[in-house]
Amino acid sequence: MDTSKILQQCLHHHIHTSGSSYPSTGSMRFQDFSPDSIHMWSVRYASLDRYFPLLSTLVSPEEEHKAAGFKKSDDTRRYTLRQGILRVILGQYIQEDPEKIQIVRKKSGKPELHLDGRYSDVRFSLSHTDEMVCLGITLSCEIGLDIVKTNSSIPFPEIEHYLFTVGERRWIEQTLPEQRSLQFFRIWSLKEALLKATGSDATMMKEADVSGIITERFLNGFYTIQLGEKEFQFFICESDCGEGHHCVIASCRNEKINPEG
Amino acid sequence: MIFFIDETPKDVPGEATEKKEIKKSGDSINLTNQLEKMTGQEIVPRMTLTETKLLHLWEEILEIHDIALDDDFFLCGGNSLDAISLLVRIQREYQISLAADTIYRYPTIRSQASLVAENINKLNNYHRLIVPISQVGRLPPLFCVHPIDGWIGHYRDLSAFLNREQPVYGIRAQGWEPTETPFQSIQEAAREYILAIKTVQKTGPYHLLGFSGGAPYVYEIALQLEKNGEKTAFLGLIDTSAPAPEVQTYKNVTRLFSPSKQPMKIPSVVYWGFKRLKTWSIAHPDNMIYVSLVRLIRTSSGTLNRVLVSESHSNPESPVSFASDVEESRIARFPENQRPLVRSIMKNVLNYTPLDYSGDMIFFSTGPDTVFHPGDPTRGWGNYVKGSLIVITVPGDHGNLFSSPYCKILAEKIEERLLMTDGYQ
Repeated sequence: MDTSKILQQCLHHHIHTSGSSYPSTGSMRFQDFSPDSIHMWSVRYASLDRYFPLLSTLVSPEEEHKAAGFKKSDDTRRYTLRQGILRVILGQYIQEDPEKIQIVRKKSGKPELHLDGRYSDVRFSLSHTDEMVCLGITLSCEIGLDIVKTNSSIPFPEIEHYLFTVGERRWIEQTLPEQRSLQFFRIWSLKEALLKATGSDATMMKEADVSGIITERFLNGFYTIQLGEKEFQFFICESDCGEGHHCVIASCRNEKINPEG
Repeated sequence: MIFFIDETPKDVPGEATEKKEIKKSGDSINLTNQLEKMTGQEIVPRMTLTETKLLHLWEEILEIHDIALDDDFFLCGGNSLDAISLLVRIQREYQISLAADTIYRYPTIRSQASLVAENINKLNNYHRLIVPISQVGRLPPLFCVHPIDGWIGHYRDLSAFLNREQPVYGIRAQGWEPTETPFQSIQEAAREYILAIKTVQKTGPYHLLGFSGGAPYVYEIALQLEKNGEKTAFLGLIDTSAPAPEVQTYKNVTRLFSPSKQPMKIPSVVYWGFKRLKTWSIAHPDNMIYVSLVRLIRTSSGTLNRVLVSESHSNPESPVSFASDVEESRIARFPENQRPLVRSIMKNVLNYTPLDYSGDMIFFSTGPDTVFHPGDPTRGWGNYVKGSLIVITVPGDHGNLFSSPYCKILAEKIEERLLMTDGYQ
């Protein structure tokens, strides 16, 4: 099955390293993967729609069952599309047919590539909105990715009060009023990415204090963050990955990956 | 014709149910299908009011209809931001405090309604101003009074680092709800807060904690409890200076010259002057001329108050306030709908004059108050507390004390002192 056409026509592929982000034109194989880099793929569901018949054949029976459980047919379609495209992308990296790719969930709930014990050091994180899906891939370190729509209408002050630290709230307050909604989503997605990377649940959100690292400019580099009792070294990269969307990738550099999960 | 059948009641006892058609799901399908076959008529299960309310919240957030009681929030299209939006809406609606992962652990309307009912059942026995933060544990409860924003969020952060056996109850401000009128003085609030505390713990000794604007409130609670012959085993104030008696002097003096016998507003120039003085005094904390000058003013102020005093305790009828531009700048950082309450609490704190307290107090301080109480590590509380007053210096500053890593250290220091009090052995 030639799925490379989908990758070329629909997806945006960026490589992030500390201090730089650039569109990829080179190899997409793990053998050529630089350990310091994160590959990020993004795509709009709208551009994948025409490949639905093909992508829907790639999902596992369990995923098919889950897809059927969604209340809205749009959610079913989007879930099928993203699970399908995940296999297409991973298949390119390992030079295997996408239908052979198996994804298993670890104890922590994180998905993992399962291929006869091979590629056990591959880590990926998938996040989506109702318009876009984003995938981050890295080797040898845990990764968390979060994408949000920055035009959502949500109860900002209450969520800030509930989940953001005093420092984070202050940082938002000192920005221009028209910027505050974006700053809220930046902090939210940053915290979400950190929690995903460390396998922490939502109760740890307030613990992940990012007030010490957030700046007016999007983050791209190495940052130390205290999360509960532990200090973590993260490579963090923020990007504006499409109109009305904001995306953060965090990979945990001082934490060796845990195969047991 | 439609029959209504009651499902297992999941709501608050005595709560009415609402006749609302919902999609049948889960176990109820079998039962209703059997009944439909038997009667040949459609059976629609009845929903409780909580379930109905939750259903409306789900519909608003997820923008879908046709939701069943056992549908999974995330399979209905909810994401993590939606889950937190729902959570804060539930908390606001029912005035309960829930963990951030609640929607993940209780993903259906039925399970959420059950959780809400469980919390409300507990709350029903409490005063409306009590916000339970952590209700489990064998230790005596710790009551924490809202700071200037009127809410108890800081204590939730603190509670996460306290002993798991430590129950913690917040006391929110009256006026947090749009239908409520804020209290006019700290004394009035403290009287109600004591009633609130007693719905959780009937008799003392009590354990009280107050941060920032909440500190004068807990101090006044301890005073009133003492007056009623009740014991406070732990009175902890966090990072707030004692009110400066000069405010009372200002009030007394301006009343003399005011035609309406009302104290005048504190002019902006005075406020901004003190702001500048603060910057200077932090840079010169041991300037003996300044320290002596403050002491001289304080002594003369005390004397003047005794001569002019017409009210030994704050009178809410004639409060001192800041000029409106100062007031606006001080409340600008709060959300619009919260500002009237914040303004009211600020006024109460500004006008509060404490009386002497003969019990003990622990004062957790991030550092000296170089403007109003230079050279005094108790930051003025030593003038009022006649029992033992222990000052514990904690790292961080007033703004980040409840953030990582300072919050954990503060919690450890509080716990150390709590362990030394009655009821903790």
